[in-house]
Amino acid sequence: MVSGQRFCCRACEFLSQFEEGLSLKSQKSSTAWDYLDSSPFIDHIRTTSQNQSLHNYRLFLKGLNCSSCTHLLEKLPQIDERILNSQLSFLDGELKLTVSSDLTPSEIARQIEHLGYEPKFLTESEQAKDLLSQESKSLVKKIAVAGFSLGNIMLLSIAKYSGLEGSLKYLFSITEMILFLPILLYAGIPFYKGALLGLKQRSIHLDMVISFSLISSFVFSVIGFLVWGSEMYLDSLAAFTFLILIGRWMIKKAESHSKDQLSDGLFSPDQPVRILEDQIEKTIRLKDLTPGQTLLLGPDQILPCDGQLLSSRAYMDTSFVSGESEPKHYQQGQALFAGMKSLRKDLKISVQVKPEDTDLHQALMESEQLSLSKSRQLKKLNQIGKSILYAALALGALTFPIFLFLLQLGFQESWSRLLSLLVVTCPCALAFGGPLTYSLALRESKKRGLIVSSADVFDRMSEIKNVIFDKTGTLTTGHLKLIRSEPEKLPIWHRAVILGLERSSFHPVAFALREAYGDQVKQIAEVRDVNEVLGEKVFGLFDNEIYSLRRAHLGSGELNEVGFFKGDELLAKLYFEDEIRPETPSVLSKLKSKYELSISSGDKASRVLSLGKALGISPENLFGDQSPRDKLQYVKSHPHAVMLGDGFNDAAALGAADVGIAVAGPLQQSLKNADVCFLKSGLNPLLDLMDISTRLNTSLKRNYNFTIAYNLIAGSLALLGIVTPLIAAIIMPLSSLFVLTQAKRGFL
Amino acid sequence: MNILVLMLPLAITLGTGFLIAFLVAMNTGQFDDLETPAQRILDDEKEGERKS
Repeated sequence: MVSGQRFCCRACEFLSQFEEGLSLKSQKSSTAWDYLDSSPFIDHIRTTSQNQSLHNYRLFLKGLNCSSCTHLLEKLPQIDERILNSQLSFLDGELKLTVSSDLTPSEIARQIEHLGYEPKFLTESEQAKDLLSQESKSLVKKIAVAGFSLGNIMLLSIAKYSGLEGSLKYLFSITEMILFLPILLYAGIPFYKGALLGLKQRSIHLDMVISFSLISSFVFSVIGFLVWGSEMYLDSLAAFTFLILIGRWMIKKAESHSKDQLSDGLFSPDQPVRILEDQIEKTIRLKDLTPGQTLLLGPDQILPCDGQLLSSRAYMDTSFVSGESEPKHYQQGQALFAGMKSLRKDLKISVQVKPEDTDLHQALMESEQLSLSKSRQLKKLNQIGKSILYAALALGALTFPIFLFLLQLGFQESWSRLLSLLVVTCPCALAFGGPLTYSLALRESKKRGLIVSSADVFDRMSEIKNVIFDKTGTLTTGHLKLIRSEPEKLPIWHRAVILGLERSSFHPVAFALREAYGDQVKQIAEVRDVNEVLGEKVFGLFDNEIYSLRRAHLGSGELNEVGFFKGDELLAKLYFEDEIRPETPSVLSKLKSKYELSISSGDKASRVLSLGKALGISPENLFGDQSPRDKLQYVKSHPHAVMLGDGFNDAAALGAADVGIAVAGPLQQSLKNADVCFLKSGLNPLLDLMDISTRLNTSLKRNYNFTIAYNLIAGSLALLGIVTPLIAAIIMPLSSLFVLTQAKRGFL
Repeated sequence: MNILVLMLPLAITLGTGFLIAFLVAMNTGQFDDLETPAQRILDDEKEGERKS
């Protein structure tokens, strides 16, 4: 190797070394992959061929760059004689390995990691993706068969059109009929299946119309030919089936693509987690985690379940749970929720709620599975879609006798017009376009850190006139900091009692106090009967005395003041500072032109007023000293309002607002009370939400208008006989495709 | 014109042949991965060195 030679990637470098005869075996031994070798992990990733000594693995690799990667990975059998076969599918990033039984998965993983890729063993359930491609494969086969029949039928009909007569014409027609059978009996199966499904669900389905057209046209055509010797139109019918199948296939492709992107969850049920059992560390699968076990959480790992902290202290990034950007301190015994990320040393956590039962998981599942049924707009669209189909059927039934008897057009022409009408009417913009648009909008929301509880949030967003903000935690960071206290240094037992009072509180003051005193206090006081009056005070019993922390108005009013009381005797004054979020002014100035803005806060009126003025909100819309009840009243008196606030303290107001948005606060409560939760801190997600709803609504409106116009125009042209069944078969899938791309384009 | 009696089955047989060839290719997975085989051919290793 030329020294100093440069390579585009690690694979190229290894390949070059390999030609020099270098061994590629990894020298370093890490234990990170050892869990793969033990049950139950190994049973799920390994498939054994009939010959017991050979094992098969499938891996997904991250970091594939160029063809060198293919060459390198497929040379694995030459590097390690225990690997018998290695096959890479470059585009899917999937590596299939056949190895002898003495090579363990952990060793494979280490070796591949050493080569510079990020390996992930695929479990049986993850291989289910193949099923989808199976479906599209079978569709391609049907297209091939239909195309074969179509080609030959066309060949024969050309001869007939150019004036073939006599016995040869008869022979050709019979052959056409036979050639059509594969279409009728094989290629048409997807439509029959769809029609049967529709019948079972007792709802009208596009496939019913297609199946009906296909079968009845064939029957009429054949009977007409055999009985009256009339012309057959199997050529157009074959072309019609062929084109619709192609349209189906393209739609399936477009849909499956968006499905792929939807289904990447936060946790995989097969991902390994470490637990402590009888003082021994063990690795199990996430789905086997049960309440009561002790979970070990390493630094930078995300907590997958709800639990109680067993370690004495913890420093957690809660941005995913509460939207707060600043990490927080927790004490032994406090509840921790799924989604929090540990920032320091290994934590011991007692599992209390299984991962799949946590509110976080439920919420994520829900936002994935799309509670589309809730959207009124979508229901309306579906209804209109069905009405279009019914209208087409009714119109066909009405006009067919008119054509046949009144206008004397003849059976064939009348039938062809009826067929064109049935085929060309397509409620697809409403049937596929609507749900697709909503799922794209929800996907986009998720990508931008918004959890939207139901699809009709987007409907309501379009009617918004007022935007009401809470102050603390919404316009400001809500992350309070203890800046000074009077007296300067509190006795240690005072601090212990304060921490005891705030032990299980989620109020910003509690976090600030824990941050300030957590390191200094060794033993937290056992305060009993702790009660919290939200936004007012927290009190409890210690040494038979009532101690309390209360919101107080002691000094200038520029800072948050909290008094520490024993009974009614003031022991200490604590001052906290809270800062405006950096993006608040710019977000508000963007909203100002379109919406009526107001602030309703529990904070002191003077502070709300000065903040509101600084942000340019008119003084009559600034309200301070508001209790949760006042806020609720205020929201109720302002219809079509978005309320932004803390998911916990402002719960009632959020629930009452047209769209309640939890900017901060524990996700559990927020999800119950608010329609939307921000996973990212700050107000920028609000702009994203508005942007997404606007785009959704324009996209829906555009597709709706298009569908109505298309059906009116194409339907009347079909009735006039200008659009033949063949043209109908071409433009119908085209219109669906237009709608799908239109919906997608709105969310790129 | 009588030649048609011969041509017709011939044309259809030909078409059926291609159809079957396509279906067989489809079933044996020749369309599953269109990228990797094209890269395999770029590897300059000598024929016969390759195992399996």
